[in-house]
Amino acid sequence: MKVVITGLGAYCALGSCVKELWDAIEEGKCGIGPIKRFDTALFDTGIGGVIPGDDNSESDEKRLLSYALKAANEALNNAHISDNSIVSLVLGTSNGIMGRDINEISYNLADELNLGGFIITVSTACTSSSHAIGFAADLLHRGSARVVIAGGADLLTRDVFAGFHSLGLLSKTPCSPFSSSPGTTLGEGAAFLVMESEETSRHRGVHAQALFMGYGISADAFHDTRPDPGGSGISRAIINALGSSGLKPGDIDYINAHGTGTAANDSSEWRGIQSALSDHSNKLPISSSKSYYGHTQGAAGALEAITTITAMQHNVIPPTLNYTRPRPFSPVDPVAGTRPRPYNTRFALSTNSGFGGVNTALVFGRKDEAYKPLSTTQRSLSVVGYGLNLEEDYINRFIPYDDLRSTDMSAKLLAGVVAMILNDAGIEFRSDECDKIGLFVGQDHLSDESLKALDKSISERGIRHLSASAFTRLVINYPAGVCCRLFGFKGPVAAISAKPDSGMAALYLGADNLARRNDTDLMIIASVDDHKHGKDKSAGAVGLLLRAGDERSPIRLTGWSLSRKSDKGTEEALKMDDLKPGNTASGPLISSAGSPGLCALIDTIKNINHTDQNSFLIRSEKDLNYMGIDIIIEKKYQYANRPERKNRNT
Amino acid sequence: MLMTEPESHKGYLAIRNSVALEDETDMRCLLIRGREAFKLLDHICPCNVFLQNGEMKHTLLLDDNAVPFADVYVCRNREDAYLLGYWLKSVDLIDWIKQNQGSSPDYSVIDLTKSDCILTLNGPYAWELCAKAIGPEILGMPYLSMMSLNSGTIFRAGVTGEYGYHLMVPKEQKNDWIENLINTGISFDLAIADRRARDQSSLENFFFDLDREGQYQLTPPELQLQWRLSRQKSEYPGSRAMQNLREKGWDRRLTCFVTKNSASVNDEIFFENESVGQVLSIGYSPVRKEFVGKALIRRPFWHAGLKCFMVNDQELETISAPAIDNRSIHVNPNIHSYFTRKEN
Amino acid sequence: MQTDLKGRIEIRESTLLNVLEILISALNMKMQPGDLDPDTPLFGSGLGLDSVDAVVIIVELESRFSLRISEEEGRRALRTVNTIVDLILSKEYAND
Repeated sequence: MKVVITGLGAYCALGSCVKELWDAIEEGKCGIGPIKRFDTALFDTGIGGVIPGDDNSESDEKRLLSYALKAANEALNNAHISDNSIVSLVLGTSNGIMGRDINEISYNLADELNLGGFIITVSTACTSSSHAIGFAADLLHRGSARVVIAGGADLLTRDVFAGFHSLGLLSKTPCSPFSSSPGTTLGEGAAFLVMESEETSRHRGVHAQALFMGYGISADAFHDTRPDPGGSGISRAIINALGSSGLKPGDIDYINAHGTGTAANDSSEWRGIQSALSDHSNKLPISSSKSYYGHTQGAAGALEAITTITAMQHNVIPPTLNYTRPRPFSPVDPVAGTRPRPYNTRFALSTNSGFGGVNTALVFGRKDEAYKPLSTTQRSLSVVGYGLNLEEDYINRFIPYDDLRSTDMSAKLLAGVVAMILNDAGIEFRSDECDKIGLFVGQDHLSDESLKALDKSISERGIRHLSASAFTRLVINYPAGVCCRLFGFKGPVAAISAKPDSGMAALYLGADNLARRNDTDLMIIASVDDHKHGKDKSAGAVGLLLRAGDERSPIRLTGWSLSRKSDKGTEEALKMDDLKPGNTASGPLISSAGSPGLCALIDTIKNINHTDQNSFLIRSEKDLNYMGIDIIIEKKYQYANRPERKNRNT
Repeated sequence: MLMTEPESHKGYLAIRNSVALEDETDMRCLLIRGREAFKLLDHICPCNVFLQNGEMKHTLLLDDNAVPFADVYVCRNREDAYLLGYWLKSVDLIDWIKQNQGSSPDYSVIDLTKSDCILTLNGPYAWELCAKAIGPEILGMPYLSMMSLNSGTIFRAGVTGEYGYHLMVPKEQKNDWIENLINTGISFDLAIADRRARDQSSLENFFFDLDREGQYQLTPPELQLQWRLSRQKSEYPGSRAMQNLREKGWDRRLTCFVTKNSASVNDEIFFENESVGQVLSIGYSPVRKEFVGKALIRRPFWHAGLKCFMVNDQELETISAPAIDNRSIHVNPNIHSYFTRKEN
Repeated sequence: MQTDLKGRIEIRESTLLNVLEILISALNMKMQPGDLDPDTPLFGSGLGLDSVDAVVIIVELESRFSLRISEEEGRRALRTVNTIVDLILSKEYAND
């Protein structure tokens, strides 16, 4: 199936719609200026890509929603969507509204727009909206959704500014990626793409603006905030993106880089690009659009995608603004200049990287490019390990203290369940096998402990001296990133939030990813919750390990689907009804560890030999206002009780 | 290799200002393979060996009295382990490992120094030379990391306080590599360094040297090397002696000093008429234009920043290590280059 | 011992202990002050701290000792525990 992009919407410092944004880019304007919304006198710099607004008393919640609404409305109109009930939403946000459930913005937006499809939030720091775009394509390929609006939104708040400032990442002048003065400039905004199959767009009588060819995600497994200086994570993401698009390095005409402007990011990104594309990288124009509107955090992936696509439509490529002298070992052609360069781009790559060591690469094609999408065969999936961890210090049995020194409860709980799962599956930590393991985590909020630590540092020391270490823990994918570092996972990583059950949503997306792609054979799906907001639940993490293509395994995951109340009549939903019900997400549990569904699933697996039944449906449908998530597992044969595996990882 | 003093000095200056090449004949390397390679290392090393792929950790191997007999890096390259460094010539390390391996773990050891040689590059621009001569992937190596190359293995470490790389290649290729490095090094003002130049550099940066301060039966706290041991480990050769030490305490330690005139090893150091310790190592620092060394000084005189001591009736002052401000601290490979160094 | 030297040693020892305790607590390290030798390198080898730890240390020192540490000073002063002590003592005397 060809996936096309039929609508674009953007709202950022450089423009309140795509046309304004593009006109500004054509005129060489820069959207970075002095920040007025909060006091920057205590900091060494005071600039950002801020969206002008008179109403300084507007709450963060309203402001974020208004950005998202403006961009989303534009995209939907651009795609000539008349009936929003057919539209699903995949929204990426790095911070959401700090302290609240990360998915709140998505449900607020969906309510305003009366979206009738599925709603999924992805929060992987600065790659959030590029993840969102990739997952939107997956939903379309699966046939679960007809039309998806995918993108992201984030605010430039005082706390985020202070956090980046404390880490020494901010430039005193508008960022100049790959150029002499290092440092980044933060920005804010929202950007969305409307995506659908080519067939759907034709039925609706709408033209494609660009093709979405494929994507790749990878983890560095190096450090919680700094990128792997060798760029191997970025390299893997690019290679996987090319693989899933059916393209070779030589097919790429242009790269829109993450290019934040920091010395660490830019150099590792360039090394990663060189590693993935070898000689071809020296011939490629590579520019970073952050020089125009700053680093828009969760919106960056989508906003930079829109910049790339719009440039392609105009037969140009956007330059890197503010470029003076090159740094040693930086792209050969950074498209230095102030005006877009005339250029014919057939296929473009857009890369992003984020805290936690996550990397993404998206591939876009010119709208009239004739290409045959790769046919994908679905691989079978088996469950080869599982665990439930309720003990924060469980992980201390396996990992030396120093490696856990600056983590928090959520990270430790998740790491504990991952250790449990790997031991259950007989896989050694940091082994070659771990290299390719992916990790999708369902998680709704930040660790209460780290939020409190940040607030305490601000009230005790002042905003300039806020706790840098607490700040680095305040991204939803922080626990996932810690696990990648501890265990050596370099496969696809994501943090997902969706009602009614984030862990089940992670399982849906993860199973789909694993079955239809072949960049990895193993994926851990987990959920973690520190339950500080909870009433009588205690904190915990739960998860399982899926292996693709293992025909011998007795426990298979054979079905995964999403449903809305309006979908009762669809084929997939009927299929579900045929099956005898298995465990449902109810019943007494010590802790749901953030996902009653995953707990019910592993409970089912634990008892699977004690019943004659061979097929089990695990359904999450707490509230008919949200989507239903159905997972089917099947027992292929009765097997002897799991042998007591010699623990290789003590 | 015996050099004349001016030649050795040239090597030292290159270590401090550009890049120097040394054919390190006393550096050794063991490769440990097998399912339980890291289990074995965990058993014999006092440090935490839970390493990331490509990571190195600087540690010591201790005898039963907690005196170090090996100054080594334990390294991880995928599923292989390396022990790279220096150990006493009287020690058969493979034998010692076998004796201390615990419950016969599944591993095998290869002595790579039989087949390979080690060429070391040290200097504030060593990274740039390596990138040119070996490949740009070198630039992505963090400090204390290793990487397999098509042509050999490279370890980023060094004991001079400057950027340091150990390139391990098959012996047959040594001369070709030396030629390659010297040729590429012309534009970097590369000089050949000898043991003496490296020795002076390591002394100025307070690095441990087995042939120097390792000759006095001193323990890690006395050597200020407690950081080479993990506080969370309690079962390794020498751990019991370390435990006793922690309980009893220790009353002398190595302290960095400077003095304007030369002195000899074992010369007594005095405060007024009281002997407080002795010189263990000393060497002239061209950067400081005075002598730098390590003294074994007893409590409570064992602090840095005391200007009141005498050796051979000459003034001696204790200072915080390192004794010099390494140029490498101010060189950032993402921004700087040897060729624009005047502007830096 | 001369009271002058005795005084200097006392100041050194108390500042050293203070800095060690600050480092251990701010960096969440599981050790006693006696486990951390004064000339232990902080970055690179030694404790192997990272850039986030560097920020934490500077903030903590600035706060506890009421100092302002410039980026250049930080780079030189944050090499070992002893060099931090040197910095603090130099600034205290400068303030007198």
